[in-house]
Amino acid sequence: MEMLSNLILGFSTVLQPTNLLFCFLGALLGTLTGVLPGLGPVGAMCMLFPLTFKFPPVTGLIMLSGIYYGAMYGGSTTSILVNVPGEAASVVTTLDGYMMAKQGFAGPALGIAAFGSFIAGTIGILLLMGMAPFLSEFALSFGPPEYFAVMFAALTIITYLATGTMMKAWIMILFGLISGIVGQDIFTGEERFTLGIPTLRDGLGIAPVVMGIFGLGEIFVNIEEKIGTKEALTEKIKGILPSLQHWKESAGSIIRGTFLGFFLGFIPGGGAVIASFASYAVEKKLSKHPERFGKGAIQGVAGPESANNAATAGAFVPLLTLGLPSNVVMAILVAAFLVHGIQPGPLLISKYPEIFWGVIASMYVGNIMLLILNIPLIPMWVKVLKIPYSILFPIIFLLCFLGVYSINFDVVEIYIMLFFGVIGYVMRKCKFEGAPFAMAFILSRMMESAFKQSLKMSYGQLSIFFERPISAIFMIIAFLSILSNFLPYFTRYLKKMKSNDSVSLIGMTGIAARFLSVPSALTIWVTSEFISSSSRFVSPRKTRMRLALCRTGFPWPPAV
Amino acid sequence: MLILVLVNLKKTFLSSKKADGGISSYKNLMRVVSTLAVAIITAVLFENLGYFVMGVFFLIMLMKVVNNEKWVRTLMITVFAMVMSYLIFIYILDVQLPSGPFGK
Repeated sequence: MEMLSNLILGFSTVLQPTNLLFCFLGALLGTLTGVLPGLGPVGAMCMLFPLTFKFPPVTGLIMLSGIYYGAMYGGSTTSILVNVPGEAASVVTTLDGYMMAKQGFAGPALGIAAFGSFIAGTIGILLLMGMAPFLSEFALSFGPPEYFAVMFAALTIITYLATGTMMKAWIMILFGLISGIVGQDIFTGEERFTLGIPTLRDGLGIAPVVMGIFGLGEIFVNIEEKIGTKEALTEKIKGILPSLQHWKESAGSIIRGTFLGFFLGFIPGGGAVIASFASYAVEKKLSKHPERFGKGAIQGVAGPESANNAATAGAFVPLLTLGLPSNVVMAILVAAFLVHGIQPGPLLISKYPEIFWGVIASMYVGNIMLLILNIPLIPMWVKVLKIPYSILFPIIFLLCFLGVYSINFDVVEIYIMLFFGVIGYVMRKCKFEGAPFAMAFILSRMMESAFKQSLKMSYGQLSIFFERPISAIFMIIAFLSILSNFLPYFTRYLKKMKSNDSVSLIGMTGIAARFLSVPSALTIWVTSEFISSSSRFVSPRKTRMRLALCRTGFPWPPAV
Repeated sequence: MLILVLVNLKKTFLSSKKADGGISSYKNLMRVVSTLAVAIITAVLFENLGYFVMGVFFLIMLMKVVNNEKWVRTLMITVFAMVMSYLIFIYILDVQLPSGPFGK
């Protein structure tokens, strides 16, 4: 009963005219960004981020989440019709969706994608609604050590889900952590890496950094490679509604995709992209005719499309219960919460029920809107695709420019965005992934404060992380996942040992280097935090060393 | 640690170079560089010359110099983008963008 009254509260929030309008606007803009290649939901949400300052928090959050799930719908349309995935989560759909369209089944493919997304979205929201209150009660028992352990484990797990090599993901995480600690120390007020620039005292803002890495990085790569839009299918799309046969074939895939996607949505760094790939793999494995995959199997459209929508709902679970973002999009939502002085986390449900239930109810409403919106507007989206990139990118660029400027009315923010834009471009060129960087960057501050608070609690004893059961479990997960990074090298090493007795010295140093670099990087970060937070451990010799370091002008480690 | 990271970076950079068949052609790279240059110039002069002047400069430069679009198209898109951004940022959001010497 309580759930029902909560839901009614949620719906009464969404159905206010302004909220309804912005829910619609968010869904529409989301679909547009999903359709346009080179502008993902992350970029769009950053661009519209300043809009949330102006509105009450619920309205802003409703719009931003509308963009996220709207993009999932929009992405599928273009992947099916023109083989151009508008965003990463619908790359898999191109495999079978485009083949279906080529065989004249564009209508059913689009239909099943839309309906599958709708069903998955609805079930996902129901699961979210059912689980979130319990989880947030559980999360109330979390203290700083648990939070630190969860975030630490999250960062180690991300390396698994990154597509590049793990070493690259680790480098990105390190870079993210370092970028995240720019600004004043939360506890001592010391300035770190600020270079004397006043803007940097507050730290690097999420919006300029994320917009630079994801928005501008993408723009620069696209300018260089200049994607030409492919010829759209000219034949008319007929029979949007999938036939009974199609339904029968894909019902199982939709349900499987939904549950798989929802739970993969929890995992840090995973989200919609991983969910869609995993669902495709599962469907192919379970299918009686795996040879039909890649040649227009409807299960290959239904499964991934459901999974990526369910994952968007799943990703809200850690955000609304723990206050921890599980992917970059969620991190932008955290920023939107914080702008209004609301801390997302276990207290959100009891403190701001209208926001919590309003956002959830808006997802229902948004999903229905998208279903209605998507099907008749498909020809329009295809036309949008024909706009050449050379006139699209100046407009996107200008909006990024003004968006970043209007956050703080500070040109330095624009410089930061351009700087990270160049980094994002180089990263893409060298096949580094942005997601681990962004996650580490966002979690860095939270991790730091959780770490320092824990050490204050334990009077400087690191053992606190292993004495409390929940944090011990997460720490063990983290260390296991760090160690398992080296398994492939070990097996290769062992194979070499077996094949020829003389093990090359270079191979051994390679393994040793990899072995040392990652843990040493983490230990350096942890110990430097440790030293700076517990001054009673500092010996006179260390203080002298620090002073000498400070005199050279090197801003790290901060003097005690 | 830092050295290891750098060595690894260098290695991956070199290997990716090989895989891609070298960084793509000079002309394409120049397009990126010139876009960046236009953006930096705009950022530097943004507060002195104001949003209208720099916005128009930014759009025209990007379309004309970087991509060599037709004049008619360039001007049409410029007008469209400026009107749109005016509506969003100044009319709806009340953002105080710098107006510069020629503003309002």
